[in-house]
Amino acid sequence: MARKTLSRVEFEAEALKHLDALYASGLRFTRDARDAEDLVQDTFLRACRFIEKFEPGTNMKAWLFRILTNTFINKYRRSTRERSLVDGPEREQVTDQLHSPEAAERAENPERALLDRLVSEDVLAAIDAVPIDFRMVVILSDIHDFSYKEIAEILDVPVGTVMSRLYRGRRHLQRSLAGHAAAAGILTEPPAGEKIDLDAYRRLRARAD
Amino acid sequence: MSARIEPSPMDCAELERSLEAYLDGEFEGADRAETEAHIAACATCRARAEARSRARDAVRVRLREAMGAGTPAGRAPAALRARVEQQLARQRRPLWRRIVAPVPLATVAACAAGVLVVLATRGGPDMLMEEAVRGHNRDLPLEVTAAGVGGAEAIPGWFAGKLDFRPAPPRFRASGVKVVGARLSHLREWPAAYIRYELPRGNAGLFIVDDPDQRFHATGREVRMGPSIVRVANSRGYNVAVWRQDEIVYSLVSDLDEADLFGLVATAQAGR
Repeated sequence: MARKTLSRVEFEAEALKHLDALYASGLRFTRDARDAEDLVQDTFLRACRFIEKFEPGTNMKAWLFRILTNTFINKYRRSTRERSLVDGPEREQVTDQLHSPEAAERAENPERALLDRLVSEDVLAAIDAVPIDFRMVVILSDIHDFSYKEIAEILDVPVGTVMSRLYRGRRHLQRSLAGHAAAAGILTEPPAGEKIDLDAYRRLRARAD
Repeated sequence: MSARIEPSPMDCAELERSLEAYLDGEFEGADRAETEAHIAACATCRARAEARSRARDAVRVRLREAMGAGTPAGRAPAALRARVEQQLARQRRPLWRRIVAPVPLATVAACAAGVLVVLATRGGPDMLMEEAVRGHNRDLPLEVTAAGVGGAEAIPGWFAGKLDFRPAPPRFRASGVKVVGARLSHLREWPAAYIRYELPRGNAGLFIVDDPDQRFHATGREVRMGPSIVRVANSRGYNVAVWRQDEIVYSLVSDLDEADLFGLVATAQAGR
């Protein structure tokens, strides 16, 4: 017989299953282990506070991620120096390189083989270098497999915004990965006509200074 | 007689716009069929879709290897898991424990401010003090301001229902002490009320936590102040005063020097 509410213990057991996923994302959002721990703790504190608002049978992972991102945006992001880069038109300069199949192939896939040679630290640094609004969408989609509709609900933005942020976020990430490959000396010769974007690498250096 | 499908430039532009969504499995039914038909008919878009698909998959694989389940960056630290579990267990406390508010001591002799006797000195700042300093120092935005909620007196009401205890802020009877605002916070796994004060010379942050099981044993210099034992320590350039009132523990973090901090805390003990 279907029950209308989860018991407190069932709720906790279910919520705790998502602790790793919440922490992994929080760590990439905040880029700081202590902040990520605080963020996750706050998330669980708030989840308990709003426990009666959770509808059993709906996606608890998405519900918890909504609390996580809300908490992050309202509390932590304002206190970080990171500036949102989504102020301008979100789809600017995304298609101008994609005129021919060859150009498309280069733009999409400049370092495909090289990707395999990057260590995880480089991959993490590359994702961390993606502007936060895009980074959140890429993580929610490519790591946690949330649908566009779920991401739209988690972030409280229209689906069209999710699509454009994901598109731009993935392009950013690819350029950032290429930048890290170049910085690591793996990529010595950029493909003809391809400009390797080293912004990510420079930002990383600037932060380390 | 069916014409051969001639993909128009418009169709290619449309596919370019929707390719990501198609590859992400967002398309169903007619949309999916239309996209697949175009890709089958148009070599340019087919090459583009294949390239994009390979790039997408390669990045996803590397991302998951770097931060997916089971990787170091994809796993919550054991200490965090323990704290969250304790926090959940704590919030499960029976209802009566959440309702019973601390009863302030009714009559207490006035605090002999200025007559401070150091009872003992045990070590430096402890975990509670370190946590309070860290929390105060991060200077996260306030969730409510005294001005926005209708005065400092409305701050305890703002916390109602947000914590499983009633945080009763002490009254600092010193002139020039102004409540700026508050937010929900925590010290380790314990939910806390945080109130920020503006002082004539500096500022202060007060953490209020519920501690019925007496798990907090503040270290530092121990001073008797009226009815209370107040402990003070220094951490990261801040002075922290910790005192207990029944089940509630107060931690006041401030950039005041020790004497001024004692003076301020003393005003809250008098006439409690």
